[in-house]
Amino acid sequence: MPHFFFHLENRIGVTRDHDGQEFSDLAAARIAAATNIRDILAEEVKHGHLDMRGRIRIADAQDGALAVVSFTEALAVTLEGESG
Amino acid sequence: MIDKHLLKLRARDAISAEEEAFIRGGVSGSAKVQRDTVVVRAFEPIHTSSILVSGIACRFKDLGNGRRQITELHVPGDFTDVHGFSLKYLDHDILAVTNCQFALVPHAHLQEMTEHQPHLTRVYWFGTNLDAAIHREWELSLGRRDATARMAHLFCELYVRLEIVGLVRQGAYDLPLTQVELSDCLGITPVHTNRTLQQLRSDGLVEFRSGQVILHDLAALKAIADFDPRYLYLRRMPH
Repeated sequence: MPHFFFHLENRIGVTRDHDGQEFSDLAAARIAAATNIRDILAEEVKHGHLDMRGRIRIADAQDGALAVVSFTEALAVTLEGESG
Repeated sequence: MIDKHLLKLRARDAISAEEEAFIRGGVSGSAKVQRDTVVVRAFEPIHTSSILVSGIACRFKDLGNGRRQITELHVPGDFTDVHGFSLKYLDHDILAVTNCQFALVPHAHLQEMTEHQPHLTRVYWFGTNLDAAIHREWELSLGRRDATARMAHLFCELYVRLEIVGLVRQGAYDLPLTQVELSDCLGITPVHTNRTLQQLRSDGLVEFRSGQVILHDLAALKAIADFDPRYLYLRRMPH
């Protein structure tokens, strides 16, 4: 199975992934990236922050860019006054 | 082969030469296991328990969708499934997280121990209670500590447990886990684990790299973790 690296960019900077993980294809890696983003944002919400400026850049073993999953793609946010 | 096991036992109680001979005499063989191998599968009958000689093993449970929670890490010297003697099968799997060597103890020997070695029986009963105490502390972490404190607590716990068996050198110890395996201990995702590691590193507390944990500020790490080592029952007490 191909190896994918998830480099995180958020309010505290860039966290590079040196381990990577195996997934069947890029679509599965994108789903996993969204799951990771939700987990990180959930922790921040518990501490009273929700900063949607960020993304996970998915790269291959040669550090070639494959996809970008933004925080806004991973989480649907509905604000007061907006229609759900 | 089971020197670390004896170190662990003797950290909590006196073990006589005769008792040591009985323990050593119960080892019927050894098994070398490649990393990522399930050593004991849940709900299968077992007739042998295993002492971890080298490597890192774990207890884990998983959901039907494959999501896994590691419920305890085992370090050399641990009797990974002595509870299997009374349970007859386990409700969880035991996995060799890294390449591992195990010393095998047939349940017939443990049966003989319960009949002729009352003190050792109490020592091993204590051992299963100690595992339960570790599980309770992990429950507290998973339920109530945030990701940073949870990770700090795990590193503190392993520091204490590995020091008992002589595997801490100059404030560092080997922990050749992947970020995925570490995340399965902490109940968070791998990227979240990586970010939390980076935060602890940039705060100058601890580094996790090349399969090693290097503690730069143990006191500060303990404070973040709210780490109280009394759950590890470190005092020597007669059982």
